[in-house]
Amino acid sequence: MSDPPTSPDPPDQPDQPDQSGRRTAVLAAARIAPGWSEERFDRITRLAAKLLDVPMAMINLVAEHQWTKAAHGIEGAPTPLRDSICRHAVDSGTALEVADMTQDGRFEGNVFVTRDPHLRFYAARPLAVEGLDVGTLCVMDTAPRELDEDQRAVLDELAAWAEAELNNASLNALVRRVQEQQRLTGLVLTSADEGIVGCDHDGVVVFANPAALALLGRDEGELVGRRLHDVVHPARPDGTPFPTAQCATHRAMTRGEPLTAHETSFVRSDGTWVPIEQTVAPMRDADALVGSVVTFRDVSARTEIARLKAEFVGVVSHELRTPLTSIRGSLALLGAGVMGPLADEQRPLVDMALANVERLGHLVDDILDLERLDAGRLPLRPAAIDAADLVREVVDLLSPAAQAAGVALAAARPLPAGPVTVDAGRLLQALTNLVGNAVKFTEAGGEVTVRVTTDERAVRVHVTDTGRGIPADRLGSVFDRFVHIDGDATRTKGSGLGLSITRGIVERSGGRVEVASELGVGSTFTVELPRRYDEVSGAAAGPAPVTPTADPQGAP
Amino acid sequence: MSRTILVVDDEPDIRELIRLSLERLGGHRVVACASGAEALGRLPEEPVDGVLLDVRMPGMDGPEVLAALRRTPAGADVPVVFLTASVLEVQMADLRALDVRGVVRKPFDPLALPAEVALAFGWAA
Repeated sequence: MSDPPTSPDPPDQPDQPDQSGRRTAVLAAARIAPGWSEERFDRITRLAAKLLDVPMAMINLVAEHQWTKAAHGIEGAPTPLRDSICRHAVDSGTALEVADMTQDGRFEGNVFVTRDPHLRFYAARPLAVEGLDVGTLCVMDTAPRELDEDQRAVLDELAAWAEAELNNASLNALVRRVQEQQRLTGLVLTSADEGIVGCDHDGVVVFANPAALALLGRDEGELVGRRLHDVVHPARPDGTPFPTAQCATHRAMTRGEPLTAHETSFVRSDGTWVPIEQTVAPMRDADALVGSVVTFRDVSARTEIARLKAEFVGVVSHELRTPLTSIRGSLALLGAGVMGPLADEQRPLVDMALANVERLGHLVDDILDLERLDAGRLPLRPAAIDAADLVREVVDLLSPAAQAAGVALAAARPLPAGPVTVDAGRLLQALTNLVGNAVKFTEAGGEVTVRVTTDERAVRVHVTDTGRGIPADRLGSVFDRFVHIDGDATRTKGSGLGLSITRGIVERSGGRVEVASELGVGSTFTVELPRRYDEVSGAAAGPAPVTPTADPQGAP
Repeated sequence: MSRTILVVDDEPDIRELIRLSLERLGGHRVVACASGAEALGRLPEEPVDGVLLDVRMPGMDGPEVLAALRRTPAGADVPVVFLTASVLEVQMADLRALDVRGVVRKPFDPLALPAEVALAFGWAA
């Protein structure tokens, strides 16, 4: 009984979970699955049995357990690794040939030897997929025997064939995967709720998803192959010409500049205009602009909601204001003794009613202001002014309130000139909110100081108090509406809208508001505005009117 | 100096406040009307020194009442001051451009109204 030509001992630890895991992954990726027979593998086992004159031949795959891809003369069944004979060839990665298994310790007690089919002879060649041994082509007999050199060469050839088929399966799987991915991508595009249009770098449509076609009321032939601008912007909604050069969509597409949450209108095939929010994303291939993807959706519902909200707020405010005016007027006449002197015990009640009706009035005014800021409809009339003048005015205005609260309110000296271009009345309102807040949150004996600083870019107004300060975790939300810094609305009697309005006014003026605070030391609110340069070539460099999300030429 | 003022405003509360303010504080006499039509009817039989005319009213609005007034003998020369809740400067300018002495803003402070009205009409306080 001679030893098989190449059969080194299999590793001591037969279970290599890492290895079997990798094999499982490779087989899964190659889409080599059990459960169905394939003629291209059956053919090999049939031929192996015939050429080598053995009763049984199999192609087995070995991962977490062993399963059969093809079998001739024997039933293949899933086999646990401990019973697998093939795994000895797979683990070693070399040919295995056992003339008589009953004489080989490795197979002592193996069920395939001791029971049906009572194997004696076994010869196998490992099969690799993508470089990893995952199975065998093996031939078996119930009587001991040996292969001669020719037969071994035949087995080598057949194994190479089987391996090629396995890898071919892997290639087919790759093709199927790419096709599946393409199908999924297509499904995503066609299922998307948003209109998605792909354009080349001239703004010509090369792809449009069904949502885009539905939104524009067009079929593919009317859109693909034409410039998007020509289709959706044949003119402006008011009928005036819409030159390509002024189209933000077209500009973004041809210059490769991204455009985000941009509002415009597209015309539908029936001539109606749809308010649109669009995003233009440039497509680059190795830095060259190849085109862009325009994603857009109908925002008429949102536009309508915004309009209804504005109308609602407007009506409610007006309906609130009218009775408030009557109440305030009546109380004012009563309080002034116009209708006869008030008794001592009557006066506090009238004063309380008056103070609260004033508060309600301010709240209604604030809500209206905020609504108009939100809608971009707060009319601003920018003019060249000196921020220092505004600071002096605010300090004068709030001095009585500060005095009553025992707070020392002053403008820092010297107060440098702060040339800005803003709506003086609205900025005064913004600063009044800040200084009024500072006074309100500073204990008697404290100080509120208003400073102006300038540099080559900006003019800053700093309102510093010696109040109790704002906790760090609330600093981020002080400008949110209805936020009370100390969490107590009744104590401070504010609307909780003042800082939101301040921020809105300052941002609409091209500036920004910041806050820094230290608990127990005080807070500083800083309004930063762009500096105006009248002296530079005579051009006022004030903030341009800020309309962040509209075509500059006015397409809605 | 006491004057007779025709007040035209569709809101009864506001009419009453104006009347109280101008009569009790300003020492004037007030003739109050709820609409332009009523005012046009009253004017021939009730000579007044001035008309305080609300701009936003159902039916004829302020400017329409003004135009009708100017076409009547009794109203052709009477000084008129608008009363408006408008806050827009452009609208205020449009109103001032009409044949009026001035514009008083709503909401008004009833304690300050007599002085405001006198100023608008150009009357010595």
